[in-house]
Amino acid sequence: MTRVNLKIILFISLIYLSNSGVSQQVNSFALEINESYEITAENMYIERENHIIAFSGNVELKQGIARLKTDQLELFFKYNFDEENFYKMSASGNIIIKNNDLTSIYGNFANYSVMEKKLIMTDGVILENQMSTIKGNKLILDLNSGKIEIFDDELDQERVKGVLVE
Amino acid sequence: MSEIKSKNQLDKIKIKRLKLILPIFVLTFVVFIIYQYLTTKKVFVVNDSDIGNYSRFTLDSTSGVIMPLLSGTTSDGGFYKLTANRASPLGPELKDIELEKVNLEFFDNNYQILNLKSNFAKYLVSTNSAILFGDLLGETFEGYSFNADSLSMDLDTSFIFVNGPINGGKKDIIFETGKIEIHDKGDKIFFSSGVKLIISKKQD
Repeated sequence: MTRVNLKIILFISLIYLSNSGVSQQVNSFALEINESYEITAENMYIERENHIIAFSGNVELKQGIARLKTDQLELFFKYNFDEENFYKMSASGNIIIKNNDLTSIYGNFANYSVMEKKLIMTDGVILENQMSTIKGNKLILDLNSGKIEIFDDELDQERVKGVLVE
Repeated sequence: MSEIKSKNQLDKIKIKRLKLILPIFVLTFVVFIIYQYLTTKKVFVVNDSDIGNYSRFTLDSTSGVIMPLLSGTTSDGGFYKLTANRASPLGPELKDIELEKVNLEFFDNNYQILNLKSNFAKYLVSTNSAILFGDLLGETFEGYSFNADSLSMDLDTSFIFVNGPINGGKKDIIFETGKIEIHDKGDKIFFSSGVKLIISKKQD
């Protein structure tokens, strides 16, 4: 009976320890998605007809602890230029996404859907954290869960190279 | 004795002359002031031929004070209306005008798209352009407002250049920038010399 109890305690302890290890990884990419977007750049351009705001020159987007740096950034709005109508963001050129300097994502093109809270990055994608570096052609970052999937091929999503999960 | 008498007589003559000259001088001065006032008022009526049938200044006589009004159309089909509390002539031939407490409105299809207010402005007849400065405040039809150091605009083309630092926004979007260029009745707006944009998220 005591052996059974010990096994149960050991099993529970193992689960707890393994979970805490994974969640530490996830916490390193935790995103404060309810925080404000703060964008700085050298230039900004508003095209009213197409409801686009574009930035160029040392563009940096901050949201909570996350930072996105890129050459160009476009924000897409449905009808009005306000938070409610903001539905898509597109970045291009030398993109770096960092989070507390623990995890970094590099790439050349990225699209972010505000509704789905998913960022898809393509072209020369690199995912770096303290433990490893993974290279691929496509990366999907789910801002809801913090899950990152990296693929070897832009079209063939079956060939998953790595996954960081909660 | 006769010398003293003649001196007194001379003084009396001088006084008599002064009594005559002084009113004439005062009268001349008053006439000059009235003339200046009348000619100054005429400056506010700008001949159509000077500015290519785009606009003219008129005096709103019903207001009781000098209330200049300038209105016209831009090359892209927009309509503008510039009013002020006071106008004064500037420069050679008194064709440029300095304005106080200025309000400039831009319309597109009778719909106000931009309203600008400032403490001062200069209207340059030769280029049909205006420079607004002093507590400059702008408001767009979408509810955005901004303040800036100065703003210059070509009233023929509706091109607007805003010089900063410029701060603006509306409830959930605020921005700061150095310079703004507004083209095509506000359809295309360029921000330069550094930009900061904050989009606040609604807290659920």
